[in-house]
Amino acid sequence: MAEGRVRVRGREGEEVVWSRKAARRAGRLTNWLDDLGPSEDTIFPVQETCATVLRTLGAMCDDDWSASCLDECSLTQLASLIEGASNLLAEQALEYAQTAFACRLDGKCANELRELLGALDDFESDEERVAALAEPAFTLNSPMPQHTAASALPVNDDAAEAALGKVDVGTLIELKGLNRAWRALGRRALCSRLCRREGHADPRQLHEITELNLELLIEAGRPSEAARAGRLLHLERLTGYGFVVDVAAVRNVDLVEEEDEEEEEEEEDNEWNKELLRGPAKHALCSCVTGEGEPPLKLLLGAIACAGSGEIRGIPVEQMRAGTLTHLNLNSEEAQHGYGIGPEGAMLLAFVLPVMGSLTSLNLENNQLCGVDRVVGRGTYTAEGITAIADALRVNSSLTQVLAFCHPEVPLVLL
Amino acid sequence: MVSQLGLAYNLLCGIDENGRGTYTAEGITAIADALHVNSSLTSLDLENNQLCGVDRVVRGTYRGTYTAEGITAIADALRINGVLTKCKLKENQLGVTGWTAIFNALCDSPTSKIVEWDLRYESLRFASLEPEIAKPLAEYISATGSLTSLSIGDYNLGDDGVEALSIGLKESKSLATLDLSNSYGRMTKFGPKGAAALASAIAVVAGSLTEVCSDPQTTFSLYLLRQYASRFMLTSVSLCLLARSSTSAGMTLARRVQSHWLMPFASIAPLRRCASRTSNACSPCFHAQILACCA
Repeated sequence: MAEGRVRVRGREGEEVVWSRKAARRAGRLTNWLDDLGPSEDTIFPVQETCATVLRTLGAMCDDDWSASCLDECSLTQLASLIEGASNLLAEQALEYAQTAFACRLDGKCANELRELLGALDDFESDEERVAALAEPAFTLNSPMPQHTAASALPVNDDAAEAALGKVDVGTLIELKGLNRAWRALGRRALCSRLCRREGHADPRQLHEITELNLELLIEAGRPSEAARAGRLLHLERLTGYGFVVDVAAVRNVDLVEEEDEEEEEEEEDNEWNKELLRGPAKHALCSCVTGEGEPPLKLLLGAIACAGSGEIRGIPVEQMRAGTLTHLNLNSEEAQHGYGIGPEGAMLLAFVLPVMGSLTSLNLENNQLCGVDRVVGRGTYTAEGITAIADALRVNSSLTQVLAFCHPEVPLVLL
Repeated sequence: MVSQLGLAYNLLCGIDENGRGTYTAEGITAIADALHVNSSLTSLDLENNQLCGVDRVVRGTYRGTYTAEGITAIADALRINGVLTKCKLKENQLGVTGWTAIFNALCDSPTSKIVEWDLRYESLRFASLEPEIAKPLAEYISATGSLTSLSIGDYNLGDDGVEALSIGLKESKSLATLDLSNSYGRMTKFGPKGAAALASAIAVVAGSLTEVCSDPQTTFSLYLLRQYASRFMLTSVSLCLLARSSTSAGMTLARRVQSHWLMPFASIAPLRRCASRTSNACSPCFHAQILACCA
């Protein structure tokens, strides 16, 4: 074999020439070269991939190739490149193609994605489509064989999943609303991303989910998934931001704030303490978390939303998670909750609100939701809490019925 | 899903009740943005949040710096939202600029379902501008098919403002209650010219307008009574009596009603008892309902 060249034959019999350097960037070709030391006349057959794809992959594995060359490729072509790169174990080419695929999809809503991907909507009803979008992100496909008329992408199942390897979680959730094939593919990709646990097989049923990546869900704007995950009986760990939360330990933490007279007096003189978590309750909660340094507030709020018991500063988190409350009055003057729930309490509410399918009335009067005291103006303004509440309100009431699917009385297997 | 949300008294813009702090529209803008897509909230209470960065006047002094950024965001959201029936903005000192933004937005809205506005408890600061509210308000009243209740008692509309309002009122499709009674004990300031225009407009829309509230001492009340003494179109006329003038005002009213409607004195008696009881309880005001059909 001429130094620097490797002959590869595609599915149709057409031959493609790769540089030796490029061939070294594809695992299967490397193994072939190392194990068999083929002569220059020997051709490596790649039955699964067409010559056109092999030619592009060969270029992608070369030094002087630029990722901008993929700009002209259609999504179907990118999927074929991902399939071919997966077959050849060409990691560099795979990453380039996955990145290009994700860039086209990320940030788009279901309708935009349907048009972009040319997907036909085969849901039986609007309700089924809305349900696909609103179901918990960790919903799994039925273990029974799926009989879908069409595939999401014209590549094999593994390649289709690999195509979504770099698509962000929010977009994966939107993809589930395209049609049944995309719902199945989206569920598989999300399960792999959110529920994979090192040393364990991917869960195939809800009761097999023992770990959930909360960071990915929070950053995708789905913090309420934490509260939904609280209904997974076998959930053991929440992960994210470099930390691991022991769910069972969180269930046993006493979140009730103990009144400290000295501290109360100090607060009268100084700035109101708007921290939701402090003192023994915070210490106990942090002891359920392992990792370097102090866990971020978002993770702690997610842990409370998922597994917190009782009330915290008047917020009945356990009752809220159960989803049966119809009215919730947290007016601090009426309920005598002192200074109110503050911005951090508002963030916690926002974590749980979307799963409260029965709630019709929510009173948050007098709660210093932006961190500033009403009369004397103590505290520093922050919009984090009220923005979180606003985000939780960004829903369409057509989701109301869907949220009922998450009612605890409905068996989780139906999710 | 949540249909009623109370966010009153939360300093959503960072300004406290003394007008101190740095105005930030981030929080209220987030709520406004959510209203663009939310389709479950029918009632939103944003009372007393200093949404325009100012607080109520104390001894003629106005506190804080006025900015319309937050209320403009809310107005834009109300233009789009087709679900909210109540958006309570009372005690935010929106002024002419803020309320005009709201009314103009709703005037353009083909989807708005808002049924009531309460413009009372506004600041005196804008007193000289108050008549300017009349025109956008009148245009809104004539355009909307959803507004059923309007409380505007504290506004110093003046004769010209009331005349402008009356034009809109004549074209109203849905208004059922018009409350001109005053929350602070100030008299609604318009004279015989405005009163005549308003009473005349009310007569035109009496088919849908079934309740009018006014302070009994005002010229308007007399015009109103005179109008309905002959027409009997309203199902009720509510005359708001201030507690501080309770019994004597009640008796004065009783005499006026009696002379206009020739009602038997027995029909007025319950009114007297009501006036005394309210006075003892120190309630700010009460409504004495006089059924027009009783004549």
